[in-house]
Amino acid sequence: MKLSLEWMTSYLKDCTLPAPEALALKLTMATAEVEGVEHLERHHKNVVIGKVLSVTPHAESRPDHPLSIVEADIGGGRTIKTICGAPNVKSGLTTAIALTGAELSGGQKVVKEERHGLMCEAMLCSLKELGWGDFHYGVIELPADLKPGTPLSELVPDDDYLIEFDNKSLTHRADLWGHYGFARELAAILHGQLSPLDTYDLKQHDDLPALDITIDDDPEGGRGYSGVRLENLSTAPSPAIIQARLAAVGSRPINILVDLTNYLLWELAQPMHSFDGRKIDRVRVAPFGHEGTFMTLDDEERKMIKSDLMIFNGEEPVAIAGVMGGHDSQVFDDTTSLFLESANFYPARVRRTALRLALRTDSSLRFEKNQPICNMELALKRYVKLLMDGGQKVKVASKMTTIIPRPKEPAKITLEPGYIKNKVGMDISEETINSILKSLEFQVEVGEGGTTIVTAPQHRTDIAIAQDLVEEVARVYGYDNITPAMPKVEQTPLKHLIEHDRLQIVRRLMASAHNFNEVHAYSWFDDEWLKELKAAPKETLKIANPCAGHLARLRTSLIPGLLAFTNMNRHHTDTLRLFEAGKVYFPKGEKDWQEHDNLGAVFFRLTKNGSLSDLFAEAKGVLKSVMENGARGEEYELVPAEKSSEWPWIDPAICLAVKGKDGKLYGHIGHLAQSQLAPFGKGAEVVWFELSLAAMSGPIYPEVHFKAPANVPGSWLDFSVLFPAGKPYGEFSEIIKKFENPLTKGWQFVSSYTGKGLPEGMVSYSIRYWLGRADRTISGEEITGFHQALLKHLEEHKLTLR
Amino acid sequence: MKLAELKEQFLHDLAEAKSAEAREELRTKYLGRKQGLITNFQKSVDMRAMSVEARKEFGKLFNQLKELAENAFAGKTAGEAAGDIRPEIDLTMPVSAMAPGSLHPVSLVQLELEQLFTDMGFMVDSGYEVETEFNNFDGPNIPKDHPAREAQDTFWLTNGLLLRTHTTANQVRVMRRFGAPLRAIFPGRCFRAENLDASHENTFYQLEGLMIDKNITIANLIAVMKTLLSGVFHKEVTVRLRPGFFPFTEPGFELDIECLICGGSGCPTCKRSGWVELLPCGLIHPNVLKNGLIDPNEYSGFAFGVGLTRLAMMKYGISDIRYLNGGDIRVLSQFPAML
Repeated sequence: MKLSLEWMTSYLKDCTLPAPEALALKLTMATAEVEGVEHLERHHKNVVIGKVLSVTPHAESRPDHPLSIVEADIGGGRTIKTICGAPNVKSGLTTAIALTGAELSGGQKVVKEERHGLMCEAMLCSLKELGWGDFHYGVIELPADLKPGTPLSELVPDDDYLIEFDNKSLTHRADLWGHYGFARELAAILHGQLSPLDTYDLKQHDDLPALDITIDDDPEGGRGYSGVRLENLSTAPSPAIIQARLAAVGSRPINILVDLTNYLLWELAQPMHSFDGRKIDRVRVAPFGHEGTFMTLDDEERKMIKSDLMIFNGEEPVAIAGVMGGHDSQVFDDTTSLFLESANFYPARVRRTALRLALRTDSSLRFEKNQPICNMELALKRYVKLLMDGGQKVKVASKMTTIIPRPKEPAKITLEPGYIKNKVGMDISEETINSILKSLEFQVEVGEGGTTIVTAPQHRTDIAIAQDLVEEVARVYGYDNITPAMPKVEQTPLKHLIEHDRLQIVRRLMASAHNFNEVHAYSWFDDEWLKELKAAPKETLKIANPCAGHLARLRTSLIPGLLAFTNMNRHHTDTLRLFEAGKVYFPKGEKDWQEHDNLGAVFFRLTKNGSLSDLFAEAKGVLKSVMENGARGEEYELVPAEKSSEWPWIDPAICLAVKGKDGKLYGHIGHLAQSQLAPFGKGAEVVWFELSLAAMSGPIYPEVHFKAPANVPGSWLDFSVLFPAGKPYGEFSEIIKKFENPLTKGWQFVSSYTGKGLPEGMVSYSIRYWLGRADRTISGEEITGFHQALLKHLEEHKLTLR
Repeated sequence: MKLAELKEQFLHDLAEAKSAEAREELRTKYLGRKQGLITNFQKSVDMRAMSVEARKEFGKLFNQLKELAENAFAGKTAGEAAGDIRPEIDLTMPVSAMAPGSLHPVSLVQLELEQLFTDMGFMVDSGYEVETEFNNFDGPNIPKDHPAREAQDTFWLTNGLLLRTHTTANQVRVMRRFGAPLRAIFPGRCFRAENLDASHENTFYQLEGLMIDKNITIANLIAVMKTLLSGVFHKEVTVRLRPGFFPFTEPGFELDIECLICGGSGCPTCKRSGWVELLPCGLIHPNVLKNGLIDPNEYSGFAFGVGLTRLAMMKYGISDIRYLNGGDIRVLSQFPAML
């Protein structure tokens, strides 16, 4: 929101103003964030008030392009003649006339020149040409009592600065949505005085009949309504300064009756509405009540719903409460009486209607911010005063009538002795504290037992608790004046959440030890991708308002996301290792859920780079490392997976389950079958695993049971054993595991061989036995004995050495 | 042949050998492993016949000659001069290991900050990504009618739960679980129903932190934030505090740091202001402490939040937020595997 510096400082007295940029910085530091300061230069040089004496249509004038010869009085007995194309130029109009030597907005210079056959030395000006604002609908219309020849500079300052505030920093401060609110802040920050607003005492007319105003009982409806009836009015132009200020903040001047409602909105942040007095008899604030349409004053048909809060004249809706007035009851050119509204509505109610109608007006924006009730009557009194100042011979035709269904007392806060300085952490004197609070119009009284009782001013709807006062004092005192001080607290050992530490260990392990690239996928499945993968996860949580219909289900596995990234990346690489360590989510009953971290990994390569079985063995190695370093000592085994109805790749033919000794399922490891590889192009191989980190319960810091190494040398023996090629290696290793001998310290798989020199249908597995005894060197006979024992064991299982 | 003669002969041959080939031939002749005249000279000497003194002297002279010869061929490879060559090894061959892995840029920033905060005694609890309306909104004192609760900002689940819109959702959980005094950070994934563009994502990471103890003050908050930011940026940073509004703090602040690019003189990065808005913070609102079952009359605290995604983008100069959840290996592989 942009506000005028000239306007806000016009209420200040006894105050030295810093330069605009410096003043803006002070506001940023103490009140609200200024996003920019913009110089508004008004082009007043050689521009004077003129009164149009005659308007004659030019011969070249056409209906779509009017052109007039205008004669005008510019004071001092001088008149000018010029050409004017504005549609609103008329005899008797008081306007602004630029004479030769004037330099108007956009660099336009007024010189003596012939235009459409007439020698011209002057020009009638629009607001835009004067540099007042971006309005170019015609020449400016000014009050008739202005003396021709008066320089415009005497009526409106030549310079102004527009200060742009970040709206987010104002959301809690209803009072800062008008210039007067900022004037109050500046008075406190700059130690100046704030001028009270001049008002007209409407109370003197309390003997006049009251207005018929009712508000439907609804805690989320109308919060208050003040109205007054005014007569003997005319839709004359507003005084120049009012037009200039409105134009500066982007509000188009229309006529004084309408302009002053806008002026009060921008001055006090109190939105008002002026109904044509002929159209309103009695007012009722109530919901629309049904579905239908309503024509707003901008000539748009609005679709209303039952709950929209409205202003009714009897049974007929005349305005959308707090948003916009209706077409039929607005001020027309011939309006001479007003029913003036200054009301207050439940903030969220106004916001919802405005949002739904995509009609966020200056009015609705302010009501959303919780405007104070106290401004309702103040705005009426101020309006009438400004109306009179604007030359209107106002007749007050009713009592100022105010209905407030649920009056609220201003916040009264008791401060314990030393409360504020203890929260700030600085020794700020009581005197300074109280003077800051008073400068912001808080009432400060001495309470019992050294306490202070502080009453918030009525316009501060954001103040409720003692902490609010800490902010008021500290920001005006200046946050920069607070000396940083490290807290003095007891140091205790840091608590570690094991599941988080495990997640970070696994993450580092995958990236640094196993050369995986970490990815972040979205937390929801892409149903279209799942369809391509022929996957059908069943029970998932579901987003009610997803980005798109197929992105609604929360993921229960990381693999689909990893496969999507694999597919995307395969165009620029022939080998990939991707992992994600992140949350998966599961519904639990109707209203509950369960979520935990999983580790998902995908290995991708084109087959020309190696065989699938190598890739699978590699994946098993990574899985082993994760289980050893992540699950720390928990034993696991790989067993055929149970077939899944959700994931086609969880199938005993291509997938193993990672299971704990107690049957606990950690996850799965597997590869994609030929048919499942279709989306990944020709020659692709994909191996994957997914583990639940939540299933891991081993300690985060490893427990190692150290055994001193034997100080006598051991030795090893290699054996190559023939095994039927059609059977899995797992069966072979089961046989080897069964062989027990006191010399065995361990055994390992070395290699497998198929090819020349082997009997038909056989594979040769080389294994290595590590032999030894803790207490002595083993002898040749012992080794021979071992050899024979192993041969016998193999023979029992119908196996022979190669 | 005496050692002195051998030396003389070597120096003579060396002076004659002009080409690289000749020198190589010479090297083999004198320093070759099997036949080298110098290498094998000791075999021709009966060391046992020598006195201890003579043996010492011989050893010294022999080593000098060997060194001389080796230095003379140092223009060749050191390994060759030492006679210990493995010609089959080409030392310039490229690395055989597979391409190194990488941590996600957000993980990198998160790990760094976790390290920094745990060093200062803050525990790490990343909380839940699916949350209740209570934890996400009511707990942090966000009014029932607050616009943030509406569908255009929040992803609601069909069962009334939601995807957390901020890590603030974990405040009340952590308070209830661990009580006061408390120092904790909650890094993690958050969600907002936003349309994607270069600077808006519906999925992003935040890191929220809080400290609750007796007599925590604004002065404390400034001191801790200053220290932390010096840790984040690895240098002393100038900060300023100005008013900010958040329902879960009172008072609330925006903390700006002096622009690290221009040092405060004004540049495009800081929009010519000399300051960069970095983290919202404030004293914890008493209602939030109450919701966390902590007595606001006994304890006070501060809380702060920082956008991990935004910090990663700032730190690594990532221009478009969509890269982060895009899974593109050409983007991700630019980042290190180890912190």
